[in-house]
Amino acid sequence: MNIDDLKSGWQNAGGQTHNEKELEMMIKIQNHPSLKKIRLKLIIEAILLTILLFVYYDGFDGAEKPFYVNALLVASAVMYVTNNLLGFFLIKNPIHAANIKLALARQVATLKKISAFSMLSSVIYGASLLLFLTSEIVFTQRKYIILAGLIVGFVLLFYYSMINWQRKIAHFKTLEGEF
Amino acid sequence: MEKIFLQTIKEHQNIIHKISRMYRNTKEDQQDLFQEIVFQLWRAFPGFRQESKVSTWMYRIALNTAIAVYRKPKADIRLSNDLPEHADFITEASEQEELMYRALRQLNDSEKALISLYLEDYSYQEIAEVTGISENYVGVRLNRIKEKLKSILNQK
Repeated sequence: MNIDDLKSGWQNAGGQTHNEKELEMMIKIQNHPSLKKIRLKLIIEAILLTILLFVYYDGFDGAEKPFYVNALLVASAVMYVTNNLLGFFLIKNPIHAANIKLALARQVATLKKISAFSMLSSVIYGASLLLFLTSEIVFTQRKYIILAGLIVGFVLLFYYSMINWQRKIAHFKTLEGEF
Repeated sequence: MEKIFLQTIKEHQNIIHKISRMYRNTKEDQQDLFQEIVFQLWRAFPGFRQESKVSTWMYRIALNTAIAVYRKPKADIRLSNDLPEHADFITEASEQEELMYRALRQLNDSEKALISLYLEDYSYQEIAEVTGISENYVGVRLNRIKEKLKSILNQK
Protein backbone atom coordinates (compact mmCIF):
# COMPACT_ATOMS: atom_id res chain seq x y z
CA MET A 1 0.00 0.00 0.00
CA ASN A 2 1.43 3.42 -0.96
CA ILE A 3 0.22 7.00 -0.39
CA ASP A 4 -1.98 6.96 -3.51
CA ASP A 5 -3.61 3.73 -2.33
CA LEU A 6 -4.18 5.39 1.03
CA LYS A 7 -5.80 8.36 -0.69
CA SER A 8 -8.25 6.27 -2.68
CA GLY A 9 -8.79 4.02 0.34
CA TRP A 10 -9.64 7.03 2.50
CA GLN A 11 -11.99 8.56 -0.03
CA ASN A 12 -13.84 5.27 -0.53
CA ALA A 13 -13.87 4.29 3.13
CA GLY A 14 -17.30 3.86 4.55
CA GLY A 15 -18.89 2.90 7.78
CA GLN A 16 -22.12 1.77 9.24
CA THR A 17 -24.71 4.30 8.07
CA HIS A 18 -27.10 5.85 10.55
CA ASN A 19 -30.58 6.92 9.58
CA GLU A 20 -32.08 10.27 10.55
CA LYS A 21 -33.89 8.79 13.55
CA GLU A 22 -30.62 7.44 15.00
CA LEU A 23 -28.85 10.73 14.32
CA GLU A 24 -31.68 12.61 16.00
CA MET A 25 -31.16 10.51 19.16
CA MET A 26 -27.50 11.52 19.18
CA ILE A 27 -28.20 15.23 19.48
CA LYS A 28 -30.18 14.78 22.71
CA ILE A 29 -28.18 15.29 25.90
CA GLN A 30 -29.84 12.30 27.62
CA ASN A 31 -28.24 10.03 25.03
CA HIS A 32 -24.80 11.61 25.19
CA PRO A 33 -22.13 9.02 26.12
CA SER A 34 -20.46 10.99 28.94
CA LEU A 35 -22.64 14.03 29.64
CA LYS A 36 -25.58 12.01 30.96
CA LYS A 37 -23.29 10.32 33.54
CA ILE A 38 -21.73 13.64 34.58
CA ARG A 39 -25.16 15.27 34.86
CA LEU A 40 -26.40 12.43 37.08
CA LYS A 41 -23.27 12.74 39.26
CA LEU A 42 -23.84 16.51 39.55
CA ILE A 43 -27.48 16.06 40.56
CA ILE A 44 -26.61 13.41 43.18
CA GLU A 45 -23.80 15.59 44.61
CA ALA A 46 -26.05 18.63 44.74
CA ILE A 47 -28.80 16.64 46.54
CA LEU A 48 -26.32 15.17 49.06
CA LEU A 49 -24.80 18.57 49.73
CA THR A 50 -28.24 20.13 50.23
CA ILE A 51 -29.15 17.36 52.71
CA LEU A 52 -25.82 17.92 54.48
CA LEU A 53 -26.51 21.65 54.74
CA PHE A 54 -29.91 20.90 56.27
CA VAL A 55 -28.65 18.40 58.85
CA TYR A 56 -25.13 19.56 59.74
CA TYR A 57 -26.40 22.39 61.93
CA ASP A 58 -28.01 19.93 64.35
CA GLY A 59 -26.04 16.80 63.56
CA PHE A 60 -22.56 18.36 63.84
CA ASP A 61 -23.31 21.03 66.42
CA GLY A 62 -23.36 23.87 63.92
CA ALA A 63 -25.22 26.02 66.44
CA GLU A 64 -22.25 25.89 68.81
CA LYS A 65 -19.77 27.09 66.16
CA PRO A 66 -19.12 30.75 65.39
CA PHE A 67 -21.21 32.27 62.59
CA TYR A 68 -18.21 32.84 60.29
CA VAL A 69 -17.30 29.12 60.45
CA ASN A 70 -20.83 28.14 59.38
CA ALA A 71 -20.88 30.77 56.65
CA LEU A 72 -17.51 29.67 55.35
CA LEU A 73 -18.60 26.03 55.19
CA VAL A 74 -21.78 26.84 53.25
CA ALA A 75 -19.94 29.22 50.87
CA SER A 76 -17.20 26.68 50.18
CA ALA A 77 -19.79 23.96 49.48
CA VAL A 78 -21.51 26.27 46.98
CA MET A 79 -18.12 27.03 45.42
CA TYR A 80 -17.45 23.29 45.08
CA VAL A 81 -20.76 22.74 43.23
CA THR A 82 -20.09 25.78 41.02
CA ASN A 83 -16.73 24.31 40.09
CA ASN A 84 -18.37 21.02 39.09
CA LEU A 85 -20.94 22.91 37.01
CA LEU A 86 -18.15 24.79 35.22
CA GLY A 87 -16.52 21.48 34.30
CA PHE A 88 -19.85 20.17 33.00
CA PHE A 89 -20.40 23.21 30.78
CA LEU A 90 -16.85 23.02 29.46
CA ILE A 91 -17.43 19.43 28.32
CA LYS A 92 -20.86 20.31 26.96
CA ASN A 93 -19.52 23.28 25.01
CA PRO A 94 -15.97 22.58 23.94
CA ILE A 95 -14.12 25.51 22.46
CA HIS A 96 -14.56 25.87 18.73
CA ALA A 97 -12.70 28.58 16.86
CA ALA A 98 -11.96 29.57 13.28
CA ASN A 99 -9.24 26.92 13.17
CA ILE A 100 -7.87 24.05 15.26
CA LYS A 101 -4.70 25.83 16.44
CA LEU A 102 -6.73 28.77 17.75
CA ALA A 103 -9.23 26.44 19.43
CA LEU A 104 -6.35 24.63 21.19
CA ALA A 105 -4.81 27.92 22.35
CA ARG A 106 -8.17 28.99 23.82
CA GLN A 107 -8.62 25.58 25.40
CA VAL A 108 -5.24 25.87 27.16
CA ALA A 109 -6.14 29.35 28.46
CA THR A 110 -9.56 28.14 29.68
CA LEU A 111 -8.09 25.03 31.31
CA LYS A 112 -5.58 27.19 33.20
CA LYS A 113 -8.39 29.36 34.59
CA ILE A 114 -10.60 26.40 35.48
CA SER A 115 -7.73 24.50 37.09
CA ALA A 116 -6.88 27.55 39.24
CA PHE A 117 -10.54 27.88 40.32
CA SER A 118 -10.80 24.14 40.93
CA MET A 119 -7.65 24.04 43.09
CA LEU A 120 -8.74 27.14 44.98
CA SER A 121 -12.22 25.77 45.66
CA SER A 122 -10.74 22.45 46.83
CA VAL A 123 -8.39 24.22 49.26
CA ILE A 124 -11.16 26.47 50.60
CA TYR A 125 -13.57 23.56 50.91
CA GLY A 126 -11.00 21.39 52.72
CA ALA A 127 -9.90 24.24 54.99
CA SER A 128 -13.50 25.21 55.84
CA LEU A 129 -14.37 21.63 56.69
CA LEU A 130 -11.31 21.31 58.94
CA LEU A 131 -12.05 24.66 60.56
CA PHE A 132 -15.64 23.62 61.19
CA LEU A 133 -14.67 20.26 62.67
CA THR A 134 -11.95 21.70 64.91
CA SER A 135 -13.68 24.87 66.00
CA GLU A 136 -14.86 25.03 69.64
CA ILE A 137 -13.57 21.57 70.57
CA VAL A 138 -11.10 20.52 73.24
CA PHE A 139 -8.15 18.78 71.65
CA THR A 140 -6.82 15.50 72.98
CA GLN A 141 -3.91 13.49 71.62
CA ARG A 142 -6.31 11.20 69.75
CA LYS A 143 -8.04 14.18 68.14
CA TYR A 144 -4.67 15.62 67.08
CA ILE A 145 -3.83 12.33 65.36
CA ILE A 146 -7.19 12.31 63.54
CA LEU A 147 -6.65 15.94 62.50
CA ALA A 148 -3.15 15.13 61.21
CA GLY A 149 -4.59 12.19 59.23
CA LEU A 150 -7.25 14.45 57.71
CA ILE A 151 -4.68 17.09 56.75
CA VAL A 152 -2.41 14.49 55.13
CA GLY A 153 -5.44 13.10 53.24
CA PHE A 154 -6.41 16.54 51.96
CA VAL A 155 -2.84 17.36 50.93
CA LEU A 156 -2.56 14.08 48.99
CA LEU A 157 -5.88 14.66 47.22
CA PHE A 158 -4.84 18.22 46.39
CA TYR A 159 -1.48 17.02 45.04
CA TYR A 160 -3.12 14.30 42.91
CA SER A 161 -5.61 16.82 41.51
CA MET A 162 -2.81 19.31 40.75
CA ILE A 163 -0.75 16.67 38.89
CA ASN A 164 -3.83 15.72 36.84
CA TRP A 165 -4.48 19.32 35.84
CA GLN A 166 -0.82 19.90 34.96
CA ARG A 167 -0.78 16.75 32.81
CA LYS A 168 -3.94 17.82 31.00
CA ILE A 169 -2.68 21.36 30.31
CA ALA A 170 0.73 20.09 29.18
CA HIS A 171 -0.98 17.68 26.76
CA PHE A 172 -2.92 20.47 25.04
CA LYS A 173 0.07 22.83 25.06
CA THR A 174 2.14 20.20 23.27
CA LEU A 175 -0.67 19.60 20.81
CA GLU A 176 -0.97 23.32 20.12
CA GLY A 177 2.78 23.47 19.53
CA GLU A 178 2.54 20.66 16.98
CA PHE A 179 0.28 22.76 14.75
CA MET B 1 -33.39 23.71 11.35
CA GLU B 2 -33.13 20.26 12.95
CA LYS B 3 -34.42 18.62 9.77
CA ILE B 4 -31.82 20.40 7.59
CA PHE B 5 -29.10 19.50 10.07
CA LEU B 6 -30.02 15.81 10.17
CA GLN B 7 -30.15 15.61 6.37
CA THR B 8 -26.75 17.31 6.11
CA ILE B 9 -25.18 14.93 8.61
CA LYS B 10 -26.77 11.90 6.99
CA GLU B 11 -25.28 12.88 3.63
CA HIS B 12 -21.80 13.54 5.03
CA GLN B 13 -21.64 11.00 7.87
CA ASN B 14 -18.71 9.24 6.21
CA ILE B 15 -16.47 12.09 7.40
CA ILE B 16 -17.46 11.40 11.02
CA HIS B 17 -17.03 7.65 10.62
CA LYS B 18 -13.53 8.07 9.18
CA ILE B 19 -12.39 10.46 11.91
CA SER B 20 -13.86 8.27 14.65
CA ARG B 21 -12.09 5.19 13.31
CA MET B 22 -8.80 7.03 12.90
CA TYR B 23 -8.75 8.60 16.38
CA ARG B 24 -10.11 5.69 18.43
CA ASN B 25 -9.05 2.05 18.60
CA THR B 26 -12.06 0.14 19.84
CA LYS B 27 -15.51 -0.14 18.29
CA GLU B 28 -17.13 1.23 21.48
CA ASP B 29 -14.81 4.26 21.65
CA GLN B 30 -15.38 4.92 17.95
CA GLN B 31 -19.15 4.88 18.46
CA ASP B 32 -18.85 7.24 21.44
CA LEU B 33 -16.71 9.65 19.45
CA PHE B 34 -19.13 9.47 16.51
CA GLN B 35 -21.97 10.45 18.84
CA GLU B 36 -19.90 13.19 20.49
CA ILE B 37 -19.05 14.70 17.09
CA VAL B 38 -22.71 14.67 15.96
CA PHE B 39 -23.67 16.37 19.26
CA GLN B 40 -21.00 19.05 18.84
CA LEU B 41 -21.91 19.62 15.19
CA TRP B 42 -25.51 20.19 16.27
CA ARG B 43 -24.42 22.74 18.88
CA ALA B 44 -22.21 24.51 16.34
CA PHE B 45 -24.77 24.38 13.50
CA PRO B 46 -26.52 27.70 14.27
CA GLY B 47 -23.14 29.42 13.81
CA PHE B 48 -22.45 27.82 10.43
CA ARG B 49 -22.64 30.68 7.94
CA GLN B 50 -22.23 28.64 4.71
CA GLU B 51 -19.05 30.67 3.97
CA SER B 52 -17.14 27.43 3.64
CA LYS B 53 -18.16 24.04 2.25
CA VAL B 54 -20.25 22.01 4.68
CA SER B 55 -17.65 19.21 4.52
CA THR B 56 -14.87 21.66 5.52
CA TRP B 57 -16.95 22.91 8.45
CA MET B 58 -17.67 19.32 9.49
CA TYR B 59 -13.97 18.39 9.31
CA ARG B 60 -13.02 21.38 11.47
CA ILE B 61 -15.56 20.62 14.19
CA ALA B 62 -15.03 16.86 14.03
CA LEU B 63 -11.22 17.07 14.23
CA ASN B 64 -11.46 19.65 17.00
CA THR B 65 -13.80 17.37 18.97
CA ALA B 66 -11.60 14.30 18.47
CA ILE B 67 -8.55 16.24 19.65
CA ALA B 68 -10.23 18.23 22.46
CA VAL B 69 -11.14 15.21 24.56
CA TYR B 70 -8.28 14.50 26.95
CA ARG B 71 -7.59 10.81 27.35
CA LYS B 72 -5.18 9.53 29.94
CA PRO B 73 -2.12 7.96 28.29
CA LYS B 74 -2.55 4.19 28.16
CA ALA B 75 0.06 1.46 28.15
CA ASP B 76 1.80 1.24 24.76
CA ILE B 77 0.22 -1.84 23.27
CA ARG B 78 1.76 -2.69 19.92
CA LEU B 79 -0.81 -4.13 17.61
CA SER B 80 0.23 -6.56 14.95
CA ASN B 81 -0.21 -5.25 11.42
CA ASP B 82 -1.56 -8.62 10.36
CA LEU B 83 -5.20 -9.44 10.63
CA PRO B 84 -6.16 -12.76 12.23
CA GLU B 85 -5.97 -15.63 9.74
CA HIS B 86 -9.34 -17.01 10.75
CA ALA B 87 -11.10 -13.77 9.86
CA ASP B 88 -12.35 -15.24 6.59
CA PHE B 89 -15.45 -13.10 6.69
CA ILE B 90 -13.42 -9.96 6.23
CA THR B 91 -13.57 -8.92 2.60
CA GLU B 92 -10.47 -7.77 0.79
CA ALA B 93 -11.80 -4.20 0.71
CA SER B 94 -12.47 -4.05 4.44
CA GLU B 95 -9.11 -5.72 5.11
CA GLN B 96 -7.38 -2.94 3.14
CA GLU B 97 -9.46 -0.39 5.03
CA GLU B 98 -8.45 -1.83 8.40
CA LEU B 99 -4.77 -1.83 7.37
CA MET B 100 -5.13 1.81 6.38
CA TYR B 101 -6.62 2.77 9.76
CA ARG B 102 -3.94 0.80 11.61
CA ALA B 103 -1.26 2.76 9.78
CA LEU B 104 -3.00 6.09 10.38
CA ARG B 105 -3.51 5.36 14.09
CA GLN B 106 0.26 5.24 14.54
CA LEU B 107 0.47 8.98 13.82
CA ASN B 108 0.03 11.58 16.55
CA ASP B 109 -3.14 13.69 16.83
CA SER B 110 -1.91 16.68 14.79
CA GLU B 111 -0.49 14.41 12.06
CA LYS B 112 -3.82 12.59 11.84
CA ALA B 113 -5.65 15.90 11.36
CA LEU B 114 -3.33 17.05 8.57
CA ILE B 115 -3.20 13.76 6.70
CA SER B 116 -6.98 13.23 6.82
CA LEU B 117 -7.50 16.57 5.08
CA TYR B 118 -4.77 15.74 2.55
CA LEU B 119 -6.27 12.31 1.85
CA GLU B 120 -9.65 13.96 1.32
CA ASP B 121 -7.96 16.02 -1.45
CA TYR B 122 -8.11 19.39 0.24
CA SER B 123 -5.73 22.03 -1.13
CA TYR B 124 -2.85 23.32 1.02
CA GLN B 125 -4.79 26.58 1.38
CA GLU B 126 -7.87 24.76 2.71
CA ILE B 127 -5.75 22.65 5.07
CA ALA B 128 -4.08 25.82 6.32
CA GLU B 129 -7.49 27.42 6.96
CA VAL B 130 -8.81 24.44 8.93
CA THR B 131 -5.68 23.86 11.00
CA GLY B 132 -4.45 27.42 11.45
CA ILE B 133 -0.90 26.91 10.17
CA SER B 134 0.71 28.53 7.12
CA GLU B 135 0.48 26.97 3.66
CA ASN B 136 4.24 26.52 3.53
CA TYR B 137 4.26 24.73 6.85
CA VAL B 138 1.41 22.51 5.67
CA GLY B 139 3.68 21.38 2.82
CA VAL B 140 6.60 20.74 5.16
CA ARG B 141 4.46 18.83 7.66
CA LEU B 142 2.75 16.73 4.98
CA ASN B 143 6.08 15.68 3.46
CA ARG B 144 7.27 14.50 6.88
CA ILE B 145 3.99 12.69 7.56
CA LYS B 146 4.08 10.96 4.16
CA GLU B 147 7.64 9.77 4.86
CA LYS B 148 6.53 8.49 8.25
CA LEU B 149 3.55 6.72 6.72
CA LYS B 150 5.76 5.13 4.05
CA SER B 151 8.02 3.67 6.71
CA ILE B 152 5.00 2.44 8.71
CA LEU B 153 3.56 0.78 5.59
CA ASN B 154 6.95 -0.72 4.66
CA GLN B 155 7.31 -2.30 8.13
CA LYS B 156 4.59 -4.72 7.13
